[in-house]
Amino acid sequence: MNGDPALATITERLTEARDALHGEHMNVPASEIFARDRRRRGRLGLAAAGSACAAAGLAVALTAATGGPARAPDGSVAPRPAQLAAWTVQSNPDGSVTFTLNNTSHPAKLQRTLARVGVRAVVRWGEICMAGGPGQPLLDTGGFMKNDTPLEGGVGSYMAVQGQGTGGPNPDLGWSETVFPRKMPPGGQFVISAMSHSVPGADIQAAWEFAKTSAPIACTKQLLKPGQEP
Amino acid sequence: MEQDRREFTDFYTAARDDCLRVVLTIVGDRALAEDLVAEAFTRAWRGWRTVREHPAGRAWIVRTALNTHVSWWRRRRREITVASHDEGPGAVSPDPALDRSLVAALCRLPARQREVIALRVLLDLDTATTAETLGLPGGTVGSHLSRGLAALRRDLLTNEKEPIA
Repeated sequence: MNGDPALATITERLTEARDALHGEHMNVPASEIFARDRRRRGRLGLAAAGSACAAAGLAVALTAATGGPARAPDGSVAPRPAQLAAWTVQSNPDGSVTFTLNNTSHPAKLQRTLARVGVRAVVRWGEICMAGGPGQPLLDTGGFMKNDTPLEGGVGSYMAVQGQGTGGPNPDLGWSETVFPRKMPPGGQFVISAMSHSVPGADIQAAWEFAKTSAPIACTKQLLKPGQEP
Repeated sequence: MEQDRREFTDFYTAARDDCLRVVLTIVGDRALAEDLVAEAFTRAWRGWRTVREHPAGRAWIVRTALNTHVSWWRRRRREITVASHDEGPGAVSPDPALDRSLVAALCRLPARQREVIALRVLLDLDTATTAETLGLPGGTVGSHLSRGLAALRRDLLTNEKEPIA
C-alpha cells in the first residue's frame, strides 16, 4: 500500500490495532436495529405535530401518546408519556422512566416533568453546564441507569452532533436513557444541558452528569475540549 | 418488504463485527463504538433501497458512524484529574486491547484523513472504492492517505517515549 518504510510501519500498527480487537462483537441484534427505526419514525411524526402546535402559539403542550395507554403485565394502566417535539418522558410499567432528548428546550418544563416521575435533574438549554470540578466527584450511576456500565468515580457524557441529526432534517441529539427513579441515590441529581449552532461543524452539543445536588454548577457557551471544565 | 428485511439482516450479520472493530480502533470507546455502528446501521435500514446498491456497504456504515458525532466521550472525574486533557476519546473507557496512543493520535487527525485511513487501511478497500465512497478523486484519496499516515507517525514519535520506526 505504501512504499515508504516508515509509513508502512504505521500502516502495520493500524492493522495490528484492529486485529487485536478480533474478540469484540456487536451485542445488538438485528431486531433492535429494526426497532430503533420504528421508534425513530414514531418520534418524527410527533415532532411534526409539536412544530404545528408551536406555530399555533402552543409552544409547550403535553400530548397523549399515539394509540391507547400501555398496560402493565398486571393489567394496570401505565402513566401517559409527556412529550414535546424536543423531548419525551415516558413512565414504563416496570417502574422505570425513559427520557428521549432531541434537545433540552423548554428546560423548566422538562425539569418539572422529570421531577414528577421521580427523576431529580437540573436542565439547561443554550449553554453547557457541569457540576463542579475535580473536588466535586461525579456519583456512580450503576444500579439505576439501565444499560449503563458502572464506572468507578462516577460518569458523565459530552457529545457534539454534526450534520443531519438522528431525528430528521433538524439536527437533534436523539439521546435516550432509561432510569429507575426509586433506585437513584439520595443527594444525587442529573445535570443535563445542550445548545445548538454554537460549534463550527457541529449542530448541537450536549452534556450530562450525575452529581451531588450540593455541587456547584458551572456553565459555558463555548465549545469544550475533551476533559475541559466549563 | 420481507425480502428487504432478509437482505438487510444478512448484510448486518456479515458486516457488523468488522465495522465495530474499525470504528472502535478509531474512537477508542467500546460503548460509543457500538452506539455509532448501531446508529449507522439504523440509517442504512432506513435507506436500504439505496444502500444495498452501494459498492462497499461496510464503507458506507463506517463513514456514517464516524461522521455521526464530531466528538463524544464518557468522562470519569477521577481519570480526568490524572490524565492528559488532550487525549480525547482515548482518555476514557479503558480497554486493554486498545492501542491508546494510536487512538489519541487518530483523534487529532483532520476528519477527512481519518476517514481515508479507516477505509483504505482498516477496511482494506482499494483506492477506487474509497474514492467512490467519499466522493473524492483517486489522487486525492492517495494524498489524504499519505498525509494522514505521516501525521500519525509524527504524532506518535512526539508523544511516545519509544520511537516506533
